[in-house]
Amino acid sequence: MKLIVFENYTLAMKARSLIIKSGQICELIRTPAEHSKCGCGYSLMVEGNLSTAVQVLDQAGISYVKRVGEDG
Amino acid sequence: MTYLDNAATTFPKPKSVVKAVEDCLLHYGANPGRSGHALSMKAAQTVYDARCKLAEYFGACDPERVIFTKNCTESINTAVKGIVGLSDHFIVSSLEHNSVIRPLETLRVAKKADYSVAKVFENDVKRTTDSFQSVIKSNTKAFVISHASNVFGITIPLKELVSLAQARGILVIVDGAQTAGVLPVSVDKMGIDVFCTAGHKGLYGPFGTGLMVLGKKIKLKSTLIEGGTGSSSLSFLQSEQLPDRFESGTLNLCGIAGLSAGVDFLKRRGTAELYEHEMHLAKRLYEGLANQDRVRLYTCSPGLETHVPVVSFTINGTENNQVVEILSDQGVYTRGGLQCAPMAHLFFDTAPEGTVRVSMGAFNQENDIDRTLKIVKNIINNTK
Repeated sequence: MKLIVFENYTLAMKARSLIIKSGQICELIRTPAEHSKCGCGYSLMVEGNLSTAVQVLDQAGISYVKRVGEDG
Repeated sequence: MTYLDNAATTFPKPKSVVKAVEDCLLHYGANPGRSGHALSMKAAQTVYDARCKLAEYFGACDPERVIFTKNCTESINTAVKGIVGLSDHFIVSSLEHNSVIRPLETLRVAKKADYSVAKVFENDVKRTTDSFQSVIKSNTKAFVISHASNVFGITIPLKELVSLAQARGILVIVDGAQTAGVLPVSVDKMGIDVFCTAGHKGLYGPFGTGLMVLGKKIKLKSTLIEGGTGSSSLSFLQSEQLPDRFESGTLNLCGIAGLSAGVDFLKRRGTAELYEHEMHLAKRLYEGLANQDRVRLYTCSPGLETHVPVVSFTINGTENNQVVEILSDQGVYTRGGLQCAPMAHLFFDTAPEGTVRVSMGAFNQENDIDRTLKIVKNIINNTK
């Protein structure tokens, strides 16, 4: 599972819009308990290249809590 | 029915707004941003889409800088109390609503902060900006100013006042209750630090909606309330992230859905086109009143950019409440009294009785104005 974890759904949705616009597929989900240190939160499950998706967010200055998983 | 109290709240609302609220209540009214189930996610998407739409409408490039509140008063309180430090000084205009004056007066009485009042001179940008300049102090933190008077319809020279404030390192908090959806506002381009407004006036949204749009650089130190945000729930402290930091508790999902539909309505009809239409009506009313005996008007004839479609008048020898009542008995709805803006009335020497205020909206037509003028004429003739 490749995830980008966000603190709130607004940032998760903003990130989703950008990643989809960049041509990647991702799905907004509730952050799985094992990855949710602070309790609650939303994540993007990335189908494509995680590093590329993260780069899109870094370039746009969108903060995230962490990334989970690696590109194969 | 002739509804001419749109400065208080716009009525009726567009059918699309009613439908949006109904749709939400009936089909997806789950708590947004609190669960992972499909309804909660749809609700969250509705809120996010509204946030993006409003960010674009108000020229803020980040949707998270659009904070939903319950009304303009809450937005102004959040902004002022979010920045105030001990012994800070604020400057307000002579036309302010109590939503600006009361929070500052409360701070003054508690000896936490102070404020000065700068005079607004109708159609005189230089005199107004000079007036603001004359009351700036070394500890002036912010201008807290109404974009337009809810009583007299006069706009303030916002561009010039922002320039003045920026040159002196002073923040600008705008009460946009009367200008959102009426005049063009771009928070980022205009350099406004906080733009506060109601959702239920010129934006044609339901009651219980308001906005605080934050400029790029401002950081509000303090929160007005803290509580559940559906994020970082393990922490006992309020989230630092926008917009959650200022949105504690369950959002007014249906109100936000309606507000989003209200903005769609404005885009379909054209904000500028609606403004011109309403100003045409304001001018028609003003000129009709100006021709009547015993009617007193307090401003110049309303003009584009210098006014919003709000006209106040009094009839010498007839109480405002009586005028409003007679109008109401004949199906014309206006507002008499102080309109929660005693400062504006003190400045225009219309306190304590106030005025009769007529405020136009998207659904008013010329015959509404003509009908009102006819009734006013009858009042004058019958109350000599």
